[in-house]
Amino acid sequence: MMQIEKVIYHCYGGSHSSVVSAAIHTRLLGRKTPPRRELLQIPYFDETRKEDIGRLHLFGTAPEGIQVYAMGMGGGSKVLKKLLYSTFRDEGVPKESLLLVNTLSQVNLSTRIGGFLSRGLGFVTLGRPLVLMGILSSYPLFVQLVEEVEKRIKGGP
Amino acid sequence: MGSIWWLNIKIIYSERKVPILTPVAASLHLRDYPPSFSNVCQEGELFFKGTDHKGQKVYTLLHGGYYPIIINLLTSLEGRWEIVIMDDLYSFPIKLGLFLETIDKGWGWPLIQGGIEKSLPMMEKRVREVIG
Repeated sequence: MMQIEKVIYHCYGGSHSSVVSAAIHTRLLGRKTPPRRELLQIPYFDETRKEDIGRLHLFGTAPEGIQVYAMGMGGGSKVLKKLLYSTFRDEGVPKESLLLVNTLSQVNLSTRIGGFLSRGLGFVTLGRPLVLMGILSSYPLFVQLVEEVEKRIKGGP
Repeated sequence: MGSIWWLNIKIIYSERKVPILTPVAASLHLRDYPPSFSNVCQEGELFFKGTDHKGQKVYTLLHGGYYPIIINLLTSLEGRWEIVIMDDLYSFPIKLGLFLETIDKGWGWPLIQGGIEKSLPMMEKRVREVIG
């Protein structure tokens, strides 16, 4: 079985669920629900703009030695996934070594509305508290997702 | 010895959904005569066409309308990429041919092929600008 070398967490805007998952994976955030100020200290958290969609952000190296990235794919996830596989293949990284993880399934209504207000419309003071509330309430789901990814990296189902 | 700056550039000829001008532009760039008119390619899939006389890798790509985010992705990866969008060089017969293709497969291709011939001088000009 091919060893996974890179994990890319992706969501719509690359601002919330993907960066939280990447931060948990790289130990920037712990497994217990963190206080609000810790979330706000994560790179790119509620910071990226619409113009940044598509940018691949390297978060760091996980303890297993793999590189962890976060990115927003906007509405072009189908095209971008193919492009990611083919560009990395061109660099000698086969498809099997790349794990793309969609984090949108863990996003609740509060995060969606807050994210749209903060990132989509620019109403940060209104949107950010909703995003924080949403992310913190579904934090165990992000931890669960990262643990499933870690299991897969170790060769589990 | 210092590295030659252009050696790491990867050139991508890109258009929207159907490979019409990009295979021809890549062939012109690679001085591959007669230019290739056909290309099997899916949206988002980088298609390696060859290495030019400067050692630069040449590709084609169907951007599917997502080129701003595609440019973001490529510029955030290692290496230098030059993305050459070809959509603005579509001549009227190509546009009409593509429309007819949506009605029935095969109807538009004679027009598209004629349109490629018509767009050839503009493509040659653009490729010359890319080669420098």
